[in-house]
Amino acid sequence: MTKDDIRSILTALLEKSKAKQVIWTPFEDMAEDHDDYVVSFPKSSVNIFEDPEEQGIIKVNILNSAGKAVGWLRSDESESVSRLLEELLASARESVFKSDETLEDLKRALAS
Amino acid sequence: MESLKNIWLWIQGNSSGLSILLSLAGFALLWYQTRKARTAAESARLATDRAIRSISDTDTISDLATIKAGMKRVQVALHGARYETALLQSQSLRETLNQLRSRRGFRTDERTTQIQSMVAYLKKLQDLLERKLEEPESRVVVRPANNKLSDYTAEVSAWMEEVRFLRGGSDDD
Repeated sequence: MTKDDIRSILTALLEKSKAKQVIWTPFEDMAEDHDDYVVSFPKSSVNIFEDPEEQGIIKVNILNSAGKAVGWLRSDESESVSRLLEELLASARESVFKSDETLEDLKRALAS
Repeated sequence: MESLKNIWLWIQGNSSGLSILLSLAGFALLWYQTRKARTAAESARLATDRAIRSISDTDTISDLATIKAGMKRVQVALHGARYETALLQSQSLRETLNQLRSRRGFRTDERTTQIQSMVAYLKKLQDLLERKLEEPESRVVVRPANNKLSDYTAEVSAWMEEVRFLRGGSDDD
């Protein structure tokens, strides 16, 4: 699995995530208080997280059916990768916490 | 004597017709016996298939019971801060869960995705426990992990019931 493969997978995943077609699950409550989400498919998973040991670095692990990491990407690899991972992390966070949706709902309710 | 002679003459005169009749009767008997044998073979094959399915389902129920017990052992180990035990149990659980994918009733996308979620979670838990063992000062919050494992145990229990009762593995059979 090359870096280009992973980038194209994550770009496609970002589209699906924005369209709310995938379900992210939080991992963050298991350890330190940091963003950590996973999305699973029949034989693979994508885990995106902020590394608590490296401040400001977002990492992605691609897990196989046994849960072993078979591909990974870090946000400090390039500017474009950093942008992609930041967007994906924000989308995963929104999918879990629905903060934008909640804000919209509150605004609508208070405006009426 | 005369009558015997007449019968012999009749047989000689009609031998081809009689042989056809006898052949037809033989064929009918053979066809009947073959049909009976084939029905018996098909019944035997169906019974064998049913027995194999039943053994396979029993095996699956046994594996699901192992997974359930394994999850409880991880919870107990986490609760007692026995991180090495929890780590080894998680590894074993991942392997057993992975085997389920090839089982009858566990090959759908929905079910394999549920299994994959559990595998991914256990892998994350393992990474966390490995870090904890390497760096004892790192933090492991037990309650959320145990809550998640309880959710998974409930899910596995539901699968067990499904296999046991919906597929005829019931003790009432």
